[in-house]
Amino acid sequence: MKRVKDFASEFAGLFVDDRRFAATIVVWIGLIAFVLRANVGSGPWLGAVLFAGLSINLLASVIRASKQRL
Amino acid sequence: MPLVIFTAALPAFFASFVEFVEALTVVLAVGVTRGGRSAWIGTIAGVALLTLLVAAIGPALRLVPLPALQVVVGALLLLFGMRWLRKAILRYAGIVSFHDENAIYAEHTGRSAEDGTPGPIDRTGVFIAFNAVVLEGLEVVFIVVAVGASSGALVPAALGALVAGALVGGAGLLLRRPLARVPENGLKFVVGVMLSAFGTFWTGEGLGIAWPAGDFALLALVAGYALVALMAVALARRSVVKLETVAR
Repeated sequence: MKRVKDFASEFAGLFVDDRRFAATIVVWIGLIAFVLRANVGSGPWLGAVLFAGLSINLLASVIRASKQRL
Repeated sequence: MPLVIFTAALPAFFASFVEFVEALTVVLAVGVTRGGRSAWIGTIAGVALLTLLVAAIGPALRLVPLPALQVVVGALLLLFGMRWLRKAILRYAGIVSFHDENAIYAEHTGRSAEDGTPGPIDRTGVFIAFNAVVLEGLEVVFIVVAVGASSGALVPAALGALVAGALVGGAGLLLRRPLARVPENGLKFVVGVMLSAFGTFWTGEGLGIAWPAGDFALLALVAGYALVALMAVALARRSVVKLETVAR
């Protein structure tokens, strides 16, 4: 049973390392999907917004990790 | 060069190459400490399970509508790729130690040796080899499916992974030691950038975003993530230096 649990947690670890980082990615995708479904906005600029949000999340997570190190 | 090589075969090759190198290190450690037979049985069992999985997933994927598949696979690819990229950035910033196949090999060799004298077929050895092959192999399967299915290029992606597997397996059989000279950290940085770009592209396409210049937007995303990643390394390094100065 322990081996199965270990395996499951290792498998989940393939996708989630920093929970806040992973959750923000999912929330950002959800927000973009909402904007598209609600017809609040459309067009190629949404692609740039998707990329920008994900990049800012990456930068924030790296800086957070660098501060936690000390 | 056809775009499918860039969007499917190349990322699948590089990402799978890194995974196969990691699996090989553990399998070699098992072979040395628990016996070659146990390592082979664990490896063959792992490959068999992965083959069954691929045989089940492949036809099932055709039943899922493409936009839904792109969103789900794209989101998973983003989680997977950005996690790789984040880790690579932290390594280059000096926050996390570099991946070292020799150190991992030594650690696995020591740990396996602690489990007592192995029999002709050692259950612990079989399990460790099986576990490594399945876990790293699942990553390969996921990468092939993610970069292949979303772009309708499953065959080039699978070929990219197969070539990587053949190269690493062949080198492992010939050298019988970990492939520590493979620039794994650099490869992970590059693959992290590529997978993040593909994840963003497929997620956007699945959601209904019309990318300017079609598939060529991928190149801009790759360049964008590379730039962001390099900026992140510089920012993290500066942040560490500043905090260390304050701590003194």
